[in-house]
Amino acid sequence: MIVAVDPESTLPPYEQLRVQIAGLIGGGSLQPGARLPAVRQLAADLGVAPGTVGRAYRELEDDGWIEGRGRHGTVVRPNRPTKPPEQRQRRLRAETEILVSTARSLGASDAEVLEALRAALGR
Amino acid sequence: MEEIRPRLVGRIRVLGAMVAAGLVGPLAGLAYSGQWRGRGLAGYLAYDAVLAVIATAVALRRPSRREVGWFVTLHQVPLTKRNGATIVDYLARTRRWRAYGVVASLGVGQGIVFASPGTQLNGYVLLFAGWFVGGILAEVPVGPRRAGGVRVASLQPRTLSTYLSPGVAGWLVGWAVGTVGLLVVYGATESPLGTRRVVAGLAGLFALTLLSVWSMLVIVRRPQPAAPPDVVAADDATRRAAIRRVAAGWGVLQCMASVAVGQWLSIGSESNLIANIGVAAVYVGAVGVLATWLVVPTRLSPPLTAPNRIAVP
Repeated sequence: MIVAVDPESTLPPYEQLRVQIAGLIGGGSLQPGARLPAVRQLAADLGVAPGTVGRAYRELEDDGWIEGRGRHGTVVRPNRPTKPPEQRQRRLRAETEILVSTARSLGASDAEVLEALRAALGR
Repeated sequence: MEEIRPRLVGRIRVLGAMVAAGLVGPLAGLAYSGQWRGRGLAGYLAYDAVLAVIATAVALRRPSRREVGWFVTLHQVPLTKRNGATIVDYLARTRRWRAYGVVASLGVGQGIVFASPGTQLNGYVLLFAGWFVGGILAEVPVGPRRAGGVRVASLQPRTLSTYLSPGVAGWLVGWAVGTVGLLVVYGATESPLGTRRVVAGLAGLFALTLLSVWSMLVIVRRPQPAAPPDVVAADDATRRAAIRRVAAGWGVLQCMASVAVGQWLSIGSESNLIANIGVAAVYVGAVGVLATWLVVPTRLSPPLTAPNRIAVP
């Protein structure tokens, strides 16, 4: 399993990491109990600051995707707790705004964004 | 001609570094003692120069096909056109830096003798320590430089236990505990000179342990290249080899320390029991040196992780 960081992206590196790891867990590629690399290892491999990976891990932990187990490292949580509806809506709006701003920076039209979204939802 | 010149410059640079590594110790020793004359200085310098030339010849020898073949068999890594350079460069670089370490350790030994003529040094320990430190200097700073553009990384965790089995870790910790125990026995039974030796020995073992563990952690964490699977597997094999070498060096130096403390106990103690413990420590330590050297770098490794058990066409 590979994650990538694009310095040219409008998304900050920690957010790119968070989205990809959450996607891998949500898609079932990372199974519950799977261990993630140490912050320093991933930071060194990606050539980013440890704080960047640390922030991505913290946000994933806050969202309930992963949990820190001290010296046993960071692992994927077995059961992701569901968020209250208002919190979920707030998060969804924030993520959509990021998507739209990325699409605008790429010069994509509204129709293209909707088409891409439909394609992703249909997967 | 254009191809030969950079190679020649590279060789001269290695020779220069080797001469410098060999001369720092004796010159520092002479500067400390202030006795620049009456010691056959020219003879010593000529000896150092010959040594540096021999070490340069060893350091510059390219790894043979047999050595590369042995490496890929030991680490179960497929040899391909893409990853061959990674393995050959690793073998050449570690050999070069170990040669620097050996030459520097001989120089340091000379320097200590120049600075304090009565000092007795164990040549084997000194040479091995130079080889060990040279190896660490070769292994630790190595890592791919990050270029611009998209950066990728694997989510496969790497820890010390990925490369060292619990058996090896137990063996190393066992020797550390045993050697510290011998030092404590020596300190409890001997004269004030013994106490000074104990403090120096404990400090040395502590420093050795710190250096070894720190080096292994740096090697584990050094960046993995964003490259095809066979190149990543070769990188992982060099990481595995490096950690095993550091672990073996750490173990051998601990065994050598236990031999030394065993000698002190067997010679200096009035109690038969303590003297016999010392003799036993000498024999067990000598066997430990051989066993650690032969077994740790080649055996007792955990199974390869899934991504590194690749089959490349």
